[in-house]
Amino acid sequence: MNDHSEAAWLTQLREQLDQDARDLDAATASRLNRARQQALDAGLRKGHGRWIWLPMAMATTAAAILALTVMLRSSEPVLQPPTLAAASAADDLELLASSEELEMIENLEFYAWLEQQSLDG
Amino acid sequence: MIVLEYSNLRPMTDHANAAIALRGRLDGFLRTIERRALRMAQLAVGNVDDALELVQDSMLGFVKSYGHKPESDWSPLYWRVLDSRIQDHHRRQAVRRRWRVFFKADADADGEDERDPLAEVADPVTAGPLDRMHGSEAAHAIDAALRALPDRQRQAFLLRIWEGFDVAATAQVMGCSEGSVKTHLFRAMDALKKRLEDHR
Repeated sequence: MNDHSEAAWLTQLREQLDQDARDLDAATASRLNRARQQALDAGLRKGHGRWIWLPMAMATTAAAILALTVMLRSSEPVLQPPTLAAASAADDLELLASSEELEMIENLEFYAWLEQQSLDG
Repeated sequence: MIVLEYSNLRPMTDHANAAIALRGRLDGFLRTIERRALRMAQLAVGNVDDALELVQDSMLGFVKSYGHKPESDWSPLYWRVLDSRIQDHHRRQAVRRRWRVFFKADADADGEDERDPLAEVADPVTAGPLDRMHGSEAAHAIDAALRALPDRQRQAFLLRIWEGFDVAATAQVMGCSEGSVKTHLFRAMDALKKRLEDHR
Protein backbone atom coordinates (compact mmCIF):
# COMPACT_ATOMS: atom_id res chain seq x y z
CA MET A 1 0.00 0.00 0.00
CA ASN A 2 1.59 3.31 -1.04
CA ASP A 3 1.31 6.55 0.96
CA HIS A 4 -1.56 7.85 -1.13
CA SER A 5 -3.71 4.76 -0.85
CA GLU A 6 -2.89 4.44 2.85
CA ALA A 7 -4.02 8.01 3.43
CA ALA A 8 -7.24 7.33 1.51
CA TRP A 9 -7.82 4.15 3.51
CA LEU A 10 -7.28 5.99 6.80
CA THR A 11 -9.67 8.71 5.68
CA GLN A 12 -12.28 6.04 4.95
CA LEU A 13 -11.77 4.56 8.42
CA ARG A 14 -12.09 7.98 10.07
CA GLU A 15 -15.26 8.75 8.13
CA GLN A 16 -16.77 5.44 9.16
CA LEU A 17 -15.93 6.07 12.81
CA ASP A 18 -17.37 9.59 12.55
CA GLN A 19 -20.55 8.23 11.01
CA ASP A 20 -20.88 5.59 13.75
CA ALA A 21 -20.50 8.31 16.36
CA ARG A 22 -23.01 10.61 14.63
CA ASP A 23 -25.68 8.01 13.97
CA LEU A 24 -26.53 7.15 17.54
CA ASP A 25 -30.05 5.86 18.06
CA ALA A 26 -32.37 8.17 19.99
CA ALA A 27 -32.46 6.06 23.15
CA THR A 28 -28.68 5.88 23.47
CA ALA A 29 -28.33 9.59 22.66
CA SER A 30 -30.83 10.36 25.42
CA ARG A 31 -28.93 8.20 27.92
CA LEU A 32 -25.71 9.93 26.92
CA ASN A 33 -27.31 13.32 27.45
CA ARG A 34 -28.51 12.29 30.92
CA ALA A 35 -25.07 10.92 31.74
CA ARG A 36 -23.48 14.27 30.80
CA GLN A 37 -25.96 16.28 32.85
CA GLN A 38 -25.50 14.03 35.89
CA ALA A 39 -21.72 14.26 35.58
CA LEU A 40 -21.93 18.05 35.41
CA ASP A 41 -24.34 18.23 38.37
CA ALA A 42 -22.22 15.99 40.56
CA GLY A 43 -18.86 17.31 39.36
CA LEU A 44 -19.67 20.98 39.90
CA ARG A 45 -21.48 20.50 43.21
CA LYS A 46 -19.67 22.31 45.99
CA GLY A 47 -18.05 20.31 48.74
CA HIS A 48 -18.31 17.10 46.81
CA GLY A 49 -17.37 14.07 48.77
CA ARG A 50 -13.84 13.02 47.85
CA TRP A 51 -12.45 13.94 51.27
CA ILE A 52 -15.62 12.91 53.07
CA TRP A 53 -15.47 9.43 51.57
CA LEU A 54 -11.72 8.99 51.82
CA PRO A 55 -11.54 8.03 55.53
CA MET A 56 -14.48 5.68 55.10
CA ALA A 57 -12.90 4.05 52.04
CA MET A 58 -9.56 3.71 53.85
CA ALA A 59 -11.23 2.16 56.89
CA THR A 60 -13.16 -0.29 54.72
CA THR A 61 -10.04 -1.25 52.78
CA ALA A 62 -8.02 -1.72 55.97
CA ALA A 63 -10.76 -3.88 57.49
CA ALA A 64 -10.99 -5.99 54.35
CA ILE A 65 -7.21 -6.46 54.20
CA LEU A 66 -7.11 -7.41 57.88
CA ALA A 67 -9.95 -9.93 57.43
CA LEU A 68 -8.29 -11.40 54.36
CA THR A 69 -4.91 -11.67 56.07
CA VAL A 70 -6.47 -13.42 59.07
CA MET A 71 -8.37 -15.75 56.75
CA LEU A 72 -5.26 -16.65 54.74
CA ARG A 73 -3.12 -17.09 57.84
CA SER A 74 -5.70 -19.21 59.63
CA SER A 75 -5.46 -21.78 56.84
CA GLU A 76 -1.70 -22.10 57.41
CA PRO A 77 -0.60 -24.50 60.18
CA VAL A 78 2.71 -22.69 60.69
CA LEU A 79 3.25 -18.97 61.17
CA GLN A 80 4.76 -17.64 57.95
CA PRO A 81 5.80 -14.26 56.57
CA PRO A 82 3.22 -12.43 54.40
CA THR A 83 2.79 -14.30 51.15
CA LEU A 84 2.70 -13.09 47.59
CA ALA A 85 -0.95 -14.19 47.48
CA ALA A 86 -1.81 -11.98 50.45
CA ALA A 87 -0.01 -9.03 48.89
CA SER A 88 -1.76 -9.63 45.60
CA ALA A 89 -5.13 -9.92 47.33
CA ALA A 90 -4.48 -6.67 49.14
CA ASP A 91 -3.63 -5.02 45.83
CA ASP A 92 -6.82 -6.39 44.33
CA LEU A 93 -8.92 -5.02 47.16
CA GLU A 94 -7.29 -1.64 46.93
CA LEU A 95 -7.91 -1.58 43.21
CA LEU A 96 -11.54 -2.57 43.63
CA ALA A 97 -12.00 -0.01 46.41
CA SER A 98 -10.62 3.01 44.59
CA SER A 99 -8.22 4.03 41.87
CA GLU A 100 -8.89 7.76 42.16
CA GLU A 101 -5.75 8.67 44.12
CA LEU A 102 -3.52 6.61 41.82
CA GLU A 103 -4.94 8.47 38.86
CA MET A 104 -4.24 11.83 40.51
CA ILE A 105 -0.60 10.81 41.04
CA GLU A 106 -0.28 9.62 37.45
CA ASN A 107 -1.76 12.85 36.20
CA LEU A 108 0.83 15.04 37.96
CA GLU A 109 3.36 14.10 35.30
CA PHE A 110 0.79 14.69 32.59
CA TYR A 111 -0.04 18.11 33.91
CA ALA A 112 3.63 19.04 34.08
CA TRP A 113 3.85 18.12 30.40
CA LEU A 114 0.82 20.26 29.58
CA GLU A 115 2.34 23.24 31.37
CA GLN A 116 5.58 22.71 29.46
CA GLN A 117 3.59 22.69 26.22
CA SER A 118 1.97 26.01 27.21
CA LEU A 119 5.38 27.54 27.95
CA ASP A 120 6.83 26.26 24.69
CA GLY A 121 3.78 27.39 22.75
CA MET B 1 -28.06 51.03 53.13
CA ILE B 2 -29.17 49.97 49.69
CA VAL B 3 -25.65 50.51 48.35
CA LEU B 4 -24.18 48.28 51.09
CA GLU B 5 -26.62 45.49 50.34
CA TYR B 6 -25.87 45.77 46.65
CA SER B 7 -22.12 45.63 47.20
CA ASN B 8 -22.53 42.57 49.43
CA LEU B 9 -24.62 40.79 46.87
CA ARG B 10 -22.51 41.57 43.86
CA PRO B 11 -19.60 39.15 44.50
CA MET B 12 -22.10 36.36 45.03
CA THR B 13 -23.85 37.24 41.77
CA ASP B 14 -20.52 37.34 39.94
CA HIS B 15 -19.61 33.98 41.41
CA ALA B 16 -22.95 32.48 40.38
CA ASN B 17 -22.59 33.89 36.88
CA ALA B 18 -19.08 32.49 36.61
CA ALA B 19 -20.32 29.07 37.75
CA ILE B 20 -23.12 29.13 35.19
CA ALA B 21 -20.70 30.18 32.46
CA LEU B 22 -18.26 27.41 33.42
CA ARG B 23 -21.03 24.84 33.35
CA GLY B 24 -22.05 26.06 29.91
CA ARG B 25 -18.50 25.80 28.57
CA LEU B 26 -18.00 22.35 30.07
CA ASP B 27 -21.35 21.23 28.70
CA GLY B 28 -20.38 22.48 25.24
CA PHE B 29 -17.02 20.74 25.38
CA LEU B 30 -18.47 17.44 26.59
CA ARG B 31 -21.13 17.57 23.86
CA THR B 32 -18.41 17.78 21.22
CA ILE B 33 -16.58 14.68 22.44
CA GLU B 34 -19.25 12.51 24.07
CA ARG B 35 -20.26 10.44 21.05
CA ARG B 36 -16.68 9.71 20.05
CA ALA B 37 -15.94 8.89 23.68
CA LEU B 38 -18.87 6.47 23.77
CA ARG B 39 -17.71 4.82 20.56
CA MET B 40 -14.17 4.48 21.90
CA ALA B 41 -15.42 3.05 25.19
CA GLN B 42 -17.75 0.65 23.44
CA LEU B 43 -14.95 -0.65 21.25
CA ALA B 44 -12.90 -1.19 24.41
CA VAL B 45 -15.49 -2.87 26.65
CA GLY B 46 -17.79 -4.46 24.09
CA ASN B 47 -21.22 -3.26 25.19
CA VAL B 48 -23.10 0.00 25.34
CA ASP B 49 -24.15 -0.18 29.01
CA ASP B 50 -20.63 -0.47 30.37
CA ALA B 51 -19.46 2.08 27.80
CA LEU B 52 -22.06 4.63 28.95
CA GLU B 53 -21.05 4.06 32.56
CA LEU B 54 -17.40 4.61 31.67
CA VAL B 55 -18.19 7.78 29.74
CA GLN B 56 -20.27 9.21 32.59
CA ASP B 57 -17.59 8.27 35.11
CA SER B 58 -14.87 9.85 32.97
CA MET B 59 -16.94 13.02 32.52
CA LEU B 60 -17.46 13.24 36.27
CA GLY B 61 -13.75 12.69 36.97
CA PHE B 62 -12.80 15.24 34.35
CA VAL B 63 -15.22 17.92 35.62
CA LYS B 64 -14.20 17.40 39.25
CA SER B 65 -10.45 17.31 38.69
CA TYR B 66 -9.87 19.44 35.61
CA GLY B 67 -12.97 21.56 34.98
CA HIS B 68 -11.18 24.61 36.38
CA LYS B 69 -8.13 24.16 34.12
CA PRO B 70 -7.66 26.24 30.95
CA GLU B 71 -10.06 25.24 28.20
CA SER B 72 -7.19 24.60 25.78
CA ASP B 73 -6.05 21.72 28.03
CA TRP B 74 -9.44 20.05 28.30
CA SER B 75 -9.23 17.75 25.31
CA PRO B 76 -6.04 15.81 26.22
CA LEU B 77 -7.09 15.82 29.87
CA TYR B 78 -10.50 14.34 29.11
CA TRP B 79 -9.07 11.59 26.90
CA ARG B 80 -6.49 10.87 29.57
CA VAL B 81 -9.26 10.37 32.13
CA LEU B 82 -11.26 8.13 29.76
CA ASP B 83 -8.18 6.08 28.89
CA SER B 84 -7.46 5.66 32.58
CA ARG B 85 -11.06 4.58 33.28
CA ILE B 86 -10.92 2.04 30.44
CA GLN B 87 -7.71 0.57 31.84
CA ASP B 88 -9.25 0.48 35.33
CA HIS B 89 -12.27 -1.31 33.90
CA HIS B 90 -10.08 -4.00 32.35
CA ARG B 91 -8.03 -4.39 35.56
CA ARG B 92 -11.19 -4.74 37.63
CA GLN B 93 -12.60 -7.29 35.23
CA ALA B 94 -9.36 -9.27 35.48
CA VAL B 95 -9.48 -9.12 39.29
CA ARG B 96 -13.14 -10.19 39.35
CA ARG B 97 -12.38 -13.08 37.01
CA ARG B 98 -9.51 -14.15 39.27
CA TRP B 99 -11.68 -14.06 42.39
CA ARG B 100 -14.55 -15.77 40.61
CA VAL B 101 -12.20 -18.62 39.65
CA PHE B 102 -10.91 -18.75 43.24
CA PHE B 103 -14.39 -19.01 44.76
CA LYS B 104 -15.63 -21.39 42.08
CA ALA B 105 -12.66 -23.68 42.71
CA ASP B 106 -13.45 -23.49 46.41
CA ALA B 107 -17.12 -24.35 45.82
CA ASP B 108 -16.18 -27.21 43.49
CA ALA B 109 -13.83 -28.60 46.11
CA ASP B 110 -16.69 -28.60 48.59
CA GLY B 111 -18.88 -30.45 46.08
CA GLU B 112 -21.43 -27.66 46.15
CA ASP B 113 -23.47 -25.96 43.46
CA GLU B 114 -21.82 -26.54 40.10
CA ARG B 115 -24.12 -24.16 38.24
CA ASP B 116 -22.54 -20.85 37.38
CA PRO B 117 -25.35 -18.26 37.33
CA LEU B 118 -23.07 -15.84 35.50
CA ALA B 119 -22.89 -18.27 32.58
CA GLU B 120 -26.65 -17.93 32.17
CA VAL B 121 -26.63 -14.15 31.91
CA ALA B 122 -27.10 -12.88 28.36
CA ASP B 123 -23.83 -11.97 26.67
CA PRO B 124 -23.67 -8.16 26.65
CA VAL B 125 -21.31 -8.20 23.66
CA THR B 126 -24.07 -9.32 21.33
CA ALA B 127 -25.74 -6.74 19.15
CA GLY B 128 -26.93 -3.66 21.03
CA PRO B 129 -28.29 -0.40 19.64
CA LEU B 130 -24.88 0.71 18.46
CA ASP B 131 -24.28 -2.57 16.66
CA ARG B 132 -27.67 -2.63 14.99
CA MET B 133 -27.24 0.83 13.56
CA HIS B 134 -24.28 -0.23 11.40
CA GLY B 135 -25.81 -0.71 8.01
CA SER B 136 -22.97 -1.72 5.79
CA GLU B 137 -20.75 -4.72 5.65
CA ALA B 138 -17.73 -2.42 5.73
CA ALA B 139 -18.91 -0.81 8.95
CA HIS B 140 -19.27 -4.24 10.56
CA ALA B 141 -15.84 -5.24 9.34
CA ILE B 142 -14.21 -2.09 10.70
CA ASP B 143 -16.01 -2.51 14.01
CA ALA B 144 -14.92 -6.14 14.31
CA ALA B 145 -11.35 -5.36 13.29
CA LEU B 146 -11.04 -2.58 15.87
CA ARG B 147 -12.57 -4.72 18.62
CA ALA B 148 -10.13 -7.51 17.83
CA LEU B 149 -7.11 -5.27 18.45
CA PRO B 150 -5.34 -5.42 21.82
CA ASP B 151 -6.46 -2.51 24.04
CA ARG B 152 -3.33 -0.40 23.83
CA GLN B 153 -3.07 -0.80 20.06
CA ARG B 154 -6.72 0.23 19.66
CA GLN B 155 -6.28 3.23 21.93
CA ALA B 156 -3.14 4.34 20.11
CA PHE B 157 -4.91 4.02 16.76
CA LEU B 158 -8.07 5.87 17.84
CA LEU B 159 -6.26 8.68 19.62
CA ARG B 160 -3.66 9.17 16.92
CA ILE B 161 -5.70 8.57 13.77
CA TRP B 162 -9.26 9.43 14.81
CA GLU B 163 -8.74 12.13 17.45
CA GLY B 164 -5.74 13.49 15.60
CA PHE B 165 -3.34 13.80 18.54
CA ASP B 166 0.33 13.83 17.59
CA VAL B 167 2.65 11.10 18.91
CA ALA B 168 3.77 13.12 21.96
CA ALA B 169 0.22 13.99 23.00
CA THR B 170 -0.97 10.41 22.42
CA ALA B 171 1.88 9.19 24.63
CA GLN B 172 0.86 11.58 27.39
CA VAL B 173 -2.81 10.64 27.13
CA MET B 174 -1.96 6.94 27.27
CA GLY B 175 0.68 7.38 29.96
CA CYS B 176 3.43 5.64 27.98
CA SER B 177 6.50 6.55 25.92
CA GLU B 178 6.40 7.92 22.39
CA GLY B 179 8.24 4.79 21.27
CA SER B 180 5.44 2.65 22.71
CA VAL B 181 2.84 4.71 20.87
CA LYS B 182 4.70 4.22 17.58
CA THR B 183 4.98 0.48 18.20
CA HIS B 184 1.29 0.14 19.17
CA LEU B 185 0.25 2.20 16.16
CA PHE B 186 2.41 0.24 13.72
CA ARG B 187 1.02 -3.06 14.97
CA ALA B 188 -2.55 -1.73 14.94
CA MET B 189 -2.24 -0.49 11.36
CA ASP B 190 -0.67 -3.75 10.27
CA ALA B 191 -3.44 -5.84 11.88
CA LEU B 192 -6.18 -3.59 10.49
CA LYS B 193 -4.76 -3.71 6.97
CA LYS B 194 -4.71 -7.50 7.06
CA ARG B 195 -8.20 -7.80 8.53
CA LEU B 196 -9.73 -5.19 6.24
CA GLU B 197 -8.01 -6.29 3.07
CA ASP B 198 -11.34 -7.11 1.41
CA HIS B 199 -12.88 -3.75 2.28
CA ARG B 200 -10.22 -1.47 0.88
